[in-house]
Amino acid sequence: MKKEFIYITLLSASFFATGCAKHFLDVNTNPNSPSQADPALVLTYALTQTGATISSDYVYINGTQNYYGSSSNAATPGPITTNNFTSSDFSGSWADNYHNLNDYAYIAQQGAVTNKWFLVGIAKTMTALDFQMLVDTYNDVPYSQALQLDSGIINPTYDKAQDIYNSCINQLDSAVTIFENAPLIESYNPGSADVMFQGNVTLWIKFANAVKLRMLLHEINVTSQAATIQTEMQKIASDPVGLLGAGESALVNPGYATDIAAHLSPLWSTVGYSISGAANFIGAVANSYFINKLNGYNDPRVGYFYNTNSAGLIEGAALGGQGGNSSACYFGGPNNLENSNIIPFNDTLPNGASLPTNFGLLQSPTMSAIILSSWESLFLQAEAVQRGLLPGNAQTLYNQAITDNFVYLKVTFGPSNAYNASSAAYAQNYAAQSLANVGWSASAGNPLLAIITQKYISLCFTDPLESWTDYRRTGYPNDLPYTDNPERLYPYPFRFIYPQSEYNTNQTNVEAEGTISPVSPKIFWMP
Amino acid sequence: MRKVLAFMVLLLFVAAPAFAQSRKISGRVVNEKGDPVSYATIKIKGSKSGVIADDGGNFTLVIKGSNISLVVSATDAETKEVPVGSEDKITITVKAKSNELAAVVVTALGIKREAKSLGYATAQVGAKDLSESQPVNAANGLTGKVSGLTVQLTSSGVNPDNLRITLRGNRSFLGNNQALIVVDGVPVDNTYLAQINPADIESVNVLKGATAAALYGSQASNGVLIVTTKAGRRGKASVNLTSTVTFDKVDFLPKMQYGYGSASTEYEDADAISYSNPNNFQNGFVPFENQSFGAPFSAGSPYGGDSVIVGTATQTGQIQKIPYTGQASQFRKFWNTGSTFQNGVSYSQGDDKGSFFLSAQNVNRSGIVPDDKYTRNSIRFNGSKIYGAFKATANVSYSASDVNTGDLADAYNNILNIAPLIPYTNYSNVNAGYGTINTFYNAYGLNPYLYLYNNRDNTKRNDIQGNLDLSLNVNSWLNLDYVIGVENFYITDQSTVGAFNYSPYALFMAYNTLAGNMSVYHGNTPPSVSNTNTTEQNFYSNFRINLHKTFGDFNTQLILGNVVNQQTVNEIGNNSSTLLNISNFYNVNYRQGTPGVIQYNSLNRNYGNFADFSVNYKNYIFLHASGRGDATSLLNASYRNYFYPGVDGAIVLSDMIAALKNSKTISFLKIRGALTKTGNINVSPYSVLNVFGSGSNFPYGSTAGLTTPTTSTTPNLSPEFTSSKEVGGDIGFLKGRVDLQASYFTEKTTNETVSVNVSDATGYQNATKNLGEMDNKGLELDLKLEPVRLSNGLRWDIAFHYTHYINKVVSLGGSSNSLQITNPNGSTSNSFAVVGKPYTALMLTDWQRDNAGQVIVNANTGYPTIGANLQYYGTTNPTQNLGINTSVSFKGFTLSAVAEYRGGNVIYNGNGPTLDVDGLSARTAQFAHTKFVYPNSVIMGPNGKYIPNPGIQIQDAGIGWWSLPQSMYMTSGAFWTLRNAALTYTIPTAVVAKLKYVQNITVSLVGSNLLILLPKGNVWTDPEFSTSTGNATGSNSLVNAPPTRTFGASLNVTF
Repeated sequence: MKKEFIYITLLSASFFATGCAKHFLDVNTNPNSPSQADPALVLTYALTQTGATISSDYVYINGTQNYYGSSSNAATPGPITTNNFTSSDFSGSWADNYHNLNDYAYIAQQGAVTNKWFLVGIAKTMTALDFQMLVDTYNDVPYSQALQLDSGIINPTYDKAQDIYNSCINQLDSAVTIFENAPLIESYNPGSADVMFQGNVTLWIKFANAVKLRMLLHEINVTSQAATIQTEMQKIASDPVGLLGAGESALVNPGYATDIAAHLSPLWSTVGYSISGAANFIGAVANSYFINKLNGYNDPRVGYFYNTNSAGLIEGAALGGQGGNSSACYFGGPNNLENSNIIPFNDTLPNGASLPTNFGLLQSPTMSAIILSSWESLFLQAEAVQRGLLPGNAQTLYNQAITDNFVYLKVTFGPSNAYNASSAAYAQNYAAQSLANVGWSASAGNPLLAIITQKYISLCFTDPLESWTDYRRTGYPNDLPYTDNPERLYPYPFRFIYPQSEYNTNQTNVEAEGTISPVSPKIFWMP
Repeated sequence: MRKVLAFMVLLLFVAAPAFAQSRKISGRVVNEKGDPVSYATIKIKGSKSGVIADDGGNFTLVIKGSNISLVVSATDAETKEVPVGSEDKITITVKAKSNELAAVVVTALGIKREAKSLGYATAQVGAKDLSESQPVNAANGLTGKVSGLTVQLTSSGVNPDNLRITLRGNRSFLGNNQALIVVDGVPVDNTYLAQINPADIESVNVLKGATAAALYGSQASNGVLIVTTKAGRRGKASVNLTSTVTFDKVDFLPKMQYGYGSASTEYEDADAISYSNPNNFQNGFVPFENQSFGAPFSAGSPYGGDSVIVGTATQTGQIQKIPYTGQASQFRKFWNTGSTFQNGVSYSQGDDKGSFFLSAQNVNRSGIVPDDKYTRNSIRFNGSKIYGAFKATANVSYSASDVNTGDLADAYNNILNIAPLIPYTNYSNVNAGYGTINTFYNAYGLNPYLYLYNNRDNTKRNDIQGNLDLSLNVNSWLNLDYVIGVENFYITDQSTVGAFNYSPYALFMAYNTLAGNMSVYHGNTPPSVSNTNTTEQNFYSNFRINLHKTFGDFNTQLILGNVVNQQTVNEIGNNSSTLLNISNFYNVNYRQGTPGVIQYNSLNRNYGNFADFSVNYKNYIFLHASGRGDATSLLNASYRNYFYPGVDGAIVLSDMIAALKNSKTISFLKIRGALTKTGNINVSPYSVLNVFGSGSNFPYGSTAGLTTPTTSTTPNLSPEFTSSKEVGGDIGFLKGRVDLQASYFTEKTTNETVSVNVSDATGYQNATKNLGEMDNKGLELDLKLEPVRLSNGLRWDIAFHYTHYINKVVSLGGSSNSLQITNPNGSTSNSFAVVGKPYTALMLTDWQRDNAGQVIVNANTGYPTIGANLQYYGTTNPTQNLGINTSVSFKGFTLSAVAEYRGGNVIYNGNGPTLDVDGLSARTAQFAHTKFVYPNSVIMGPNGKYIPNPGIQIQDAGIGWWSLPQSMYMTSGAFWTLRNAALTYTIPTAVVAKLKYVQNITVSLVGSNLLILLPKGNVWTDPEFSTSTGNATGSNSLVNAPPTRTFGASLNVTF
């Protein structure tokens, strides 16, 4: 009896120890997150992320470009009042772009495996766009060895900026080739997962060409690239699909909403208001240079970029100085007129006044994020034509671009009670003025200055990076003031500093780039 | 047969008079000092009958015939045989075993071994020592009593789960470093200690190193606290009632200034509102200001007279006027006197064949923070039964706790943002007067009471813990034992934030004047709620075959065993920050917008097979070896099996060498040594395969999205390994009146599992790797003295427990020199692992300095600049620890105390910057807010070299100056504390005996943390405090309420 008991016990114990153990430990399958993902779902995320990066990560460059100024009470947001960029400034753009690129790499790889070639085309296009932003801000960056941790590359080397540009232009070529291969594209369409163009391949081709045009114009001063630029421009010119035209902005909207804070449109929440309506971007005020410039051009858009104060005035301050309005956010939009902050307490609107809705820079909390605006595409075309690189009429493109921006901002009211029922008509009146850098004919002495100046005005807060790039490659607008701050070490910054994380984790490779300051080395395409 | 015997024994008790030819004797068992020996077994030699003495040592026995001898045995005495004469009353004196010889220590897996046989250091803390200060969490009773054990009190809140318990320091960079808690043989979650009724604990055995704990496997690499709960005592049934009340009072507060009025240097004339003083710009009084860089109160009210206006006019035009003077009493008045009521009852009974223990306790506590509350109810049943060779033991306990706290961090922050003339405790009503959100005077902060009442967290936790131990003595050399245990807990957490509703008038004021800015930052906010329900189940099973055999002078024991663990965690949660605005109503079903949801499930399993062999020669040379092979589900199949061995030995010289054996001075001498390796799995479930995430923003309505992860996993992760060596010796003098234990240990932990930052250009931000090494060395000394022991009963004991640690991060795998430690809530800390420095290293910002270390100031502004790089200031963990325990007893009175010193570490006082920035702290008033030249500073000279500061003053002695680098809040972490003191009086037996049914009455006065001595520089808070119980020690913050002093009284009655 006793012996039997022992045997049974020993037997059951040994079973526990060995027999059932085979599958006993195979319980490490994650029930919380999937290890597989449909590349179309990753595309939705990645495009949304690109929109957020462009809307938020470069927002302080709006200061450098004099789109905002310094408040007298709260500290001006961002490092731009001194231009003394450090390794912690804009590090978000570095991390976000590379993470975004990792998503596009997955989409490209999975798209090819699953024969979803539309996704491959999109991934190549967006990869080129992300690297264009990285190169325009950091110059040399990891490219050929980037995004390969799974293959064991933990310390990617840095590639020459020019090489990355060339490779990206090839990627765009290859994307267009895929987009224009009907059998490949017709076999699969991402549809609504493509939160930018909803699977409209024509718009993707136009977008890819516009990104390429942008890159070619960025490197316009690089003499060794002249032949490449010619060749690539001809490819664009000969593509029957062409480039993004009026009303064809590349906009991302996954369904921005006001249900939770994380669903607000990124530009709205970055420089506008939180979910509760409290102001964000405190410390920034309207910029006095920009106000004066627009007022000098009788430009009604000043009231669409900026808010008014309690006295109904648009007041600005210089960058790096002190003064102007003391309170929070001063960027235009519906809150401009409706918010209690400009209507004296218990006052009502003047008799009969009705307010337009969804106008200006901050149109609504659910507004789409701009990846590449149609007016920018039109200004790029105007410049290329003006430089003789593309066929067409520069004046027409110039006027279309201005009009397109007026339409986007829904400009109807203007200074001195000016009113136009149609924004396009208002734009035409505006552009007909005999003012240099406004009217085309009046700008005959330097049409390029007019193009870049008007482009500069139109990019206020929608694409500060392109605005910064234009100034760095052309020096226009030629009266752009530098920060007033006496502690500034450089008049104007030319580049970002590699993030501290690179010095911590990829030291040898980043140090091979030498000493980095906000003015040196310059981006390869800078004169 | 055995049942018959049991019946016979029973008969002996109840039916003694039936045996007429027998005679009854009564007796008493005492030790050499004359003290009664409780519960001794008295057997008649050659017979199987016998009795058990009561706790007073008394027994009665019926004997038959002549030439009878009694065999008396007791756990803490040597067995003695006494012949019985014709007397009816006898007193049997037994020789107490000396501590070293007698003590049986519960080692790993509940294996009981004689203390003298162990090759490593252990310690045992008994019930009396644990409960001396009547703590709510029994672990408080361990502090200062054992070398190598650090119990860190991380905060002073109502929640007793605020201790960080480490043994011999830290081993893992990012993993858990806290000791494994084992209750009645079953490993439990660390947090469970706070759920146990301390009165249920019989003893805590401390297995200090990985050495002692090899057999618990992976979880025990940080040492083990073996908690044994009470079993029913042999002897007659007893009921014990304990009632304790203690009070907590704020001990000390940061030093503040009460001499200067509210004013800021930030305002320009244009901004000043009409009733501020426009003529005194620099120190102009601003009625809604939180900064206190104004003129001294002694200069008189800026309005004339002795009062001022504060805040802005209310909507109805009321203006608040208060005296223009410092309100020094407010800060202390804000904190309540906390109270803790503990009431417990237990029932205990037992005999040779079984035992029975039942207990219940209620704890009711209110905190020093207004409205903070804690309750805990627990019940326990422990029982055992012996049927011949078979023994079954079952323990089960249930406890329910409820922690209800307000948002202290925000409230405290706002207290430190209130000008010193404001009588803020008058605003405790947030619904009326000047305490409401619309009428509160401060434009930059809300009423601190509003945060306490409006933002609350309620954590309810239910624990069921139980185990069953079945043991069979097959024969004299074979025993089989099976333990199965479950720990189950269920936590319901609800955090709520009430609405912030500003009146339209307040919003208007905010946007149109400078006053009421708070609403600009805050806005009208709807209520929010966050619910999380977590269940965790830890299952444990352990089967053991114990073989025991004596071969001549060799005694051997072999244990073969199998252990299985399984942990299941399930978490479900939801939240919404846009609830419908209904007062005191927080249900996620009633909201606008989309709720957030959380679902997390995990399961992991481990098993291990082990062999443990020990042999001794003549009971004075001991050798012990163990080996264990583990397998875990947490790692991939090719890496999941690992093995670790251990060996230790001891020689009791005092038994071996005749000269020592007979020595009158040296009563005990032993040398020992041990070598062990332990594996530690430091990964959470599912960490070896990359997964896709959905970001915090997705989905947008019906639009879903997924993204590649930011952390890259490594499929070939393997365990961390700790190799330890230990040598030591124990020596006793003068029959145990002097007793010294010394140990020296070294530990080397390699293969640390670390999430390292990688270049973003890889597409990831972190990657999990095995790399790095950390080394530990330490010296532990335990000296126990009994300087006075007089025949009149006066006795004085004193013990010193000293530990010195030397710790070093040897390598971080070469890819980097430092690794930042993250707090458990994911926030970053000031603590790092830095190559070549002790763990954790405190790294803080400092002023920019020249090569000579002098502070560089700006030649225009006079300000120094905060440097970009973090500087090393020292380790956050004490390197020197001393605990002193003493007790004096005389005629029923016992006065006992525990004092502690810790030092050699540095801390960062996170409340300091908040105190300083608005000019509230005492040090901001040191220079009366006047401009000064930064001492010993340099400026950049014309030739690019630094030259001494020629006298350039800092521009602004107000808020512009008081944003200092973190190094200005770094102090030594040293302290001396009178941790516990208790005066206990046991009412004499003679008095108690007159009370029917009552056996014992003890009353005591108790106190904790009664006194603290700090180095001069530390004006902030208790240096033990930490933001969490995680690895990142050494930084406190505003989540820590001020330190408290606890005192009270306790009554204990046994029936």
